[in-house]
Amino acid sequence: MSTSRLIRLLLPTVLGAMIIGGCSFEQEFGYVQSADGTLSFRYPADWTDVQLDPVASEWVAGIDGAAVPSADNAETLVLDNPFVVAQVLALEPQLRDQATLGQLRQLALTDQRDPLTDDPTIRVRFHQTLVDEVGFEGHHIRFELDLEGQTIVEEHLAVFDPERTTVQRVRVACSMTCFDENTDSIEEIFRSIAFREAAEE
Amino acid sequence: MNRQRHTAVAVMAGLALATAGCGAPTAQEVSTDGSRFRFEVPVEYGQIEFGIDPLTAQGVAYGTPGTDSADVPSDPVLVMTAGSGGEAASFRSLRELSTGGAFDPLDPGDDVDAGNLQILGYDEIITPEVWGVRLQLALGRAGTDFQALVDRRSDDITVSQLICTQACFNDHLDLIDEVQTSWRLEE
Repeated sequence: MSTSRLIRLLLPTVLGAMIIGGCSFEQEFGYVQSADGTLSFRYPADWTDVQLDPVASEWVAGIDGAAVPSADNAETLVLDNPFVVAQVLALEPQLRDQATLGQLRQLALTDQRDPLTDDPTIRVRFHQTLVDEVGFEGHHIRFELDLEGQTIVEEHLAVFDPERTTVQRVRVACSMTCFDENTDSIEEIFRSIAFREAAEE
Repeated sequence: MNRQRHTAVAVMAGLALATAGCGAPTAQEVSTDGSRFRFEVPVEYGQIEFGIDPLTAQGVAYGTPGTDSADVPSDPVLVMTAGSGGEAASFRSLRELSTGGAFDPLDPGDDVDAGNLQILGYDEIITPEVWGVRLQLALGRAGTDFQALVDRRSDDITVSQLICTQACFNDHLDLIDEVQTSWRLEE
């Protein structure tokens, strides 16, 4: 058999294998973007996008790492699986006028304590201030928090847009064991976070 | 001959260009300790003793040499101060610096005796590297253009304030605006 004939015979087989391989390709990530396009990130594909009530925010997304996902997990203090809450908050003019960079850290805790203050129930693993080339600026912090006799770990990133009219924030929290087991996935989420200025209307 | 004339014309044109390029500068860059901001002021300005201090006891003033520090100057004086604290800064708190922290000139709810303070203008400065406020105020005999800028990278606040009599202020609106908008950040 000539070489050219052999190639002609093999080519469809190779192409077929590539197509089948492509069809069986499993998506590695899910993607989420805020309604105004200012915040986006990706998350592990086996985590689930759950519907949350936006309440006072312009936009909210919940991503549950549990095998049985539930919006109720957003309200649960100590979780065995990671839960991501992402929000875009619009600042009313008076609030915008008085908002400070330091206050963004207080969004990490429901009782509005600043995780950087001297509090024995809070142990900061890392903290950094952020400013990007567009002017989004804020805080990225990871801390342990003693809660109901247990310890959770929370990672929180919150920024103002350059004009300080909105706040973009992403929070992931679960028990310390859960967090440490899922650190790679959580870090990948935060690495993928991107901010973009809202399109002019 | 023709070639010589061409050469002479070329030399003269070169000289004219060189002269234009080397013309006397009309502005100089000034700054204050602890700030990355650089402002341009007229070249004839020099550092003078002048005591306005919205942030700290530190600062530097530039104006026409011989300006009387005990009175409202009759030529614009630039006073610059710098300090930390941008993390606790808001648009409101920056405006309050214009009154030494006493009140926000834009808030009618601030129950203070502002005397004959008049707000002539207000603007916000938003760039990728900087945010801040700018206020033009008239108080008594004085007119002032107050600007507080926050360096997003360091969170340091720099105040630049031009002050002189109201008559001078009205006569030098363009110069004052040029100085206040001339800022750049040193790398």
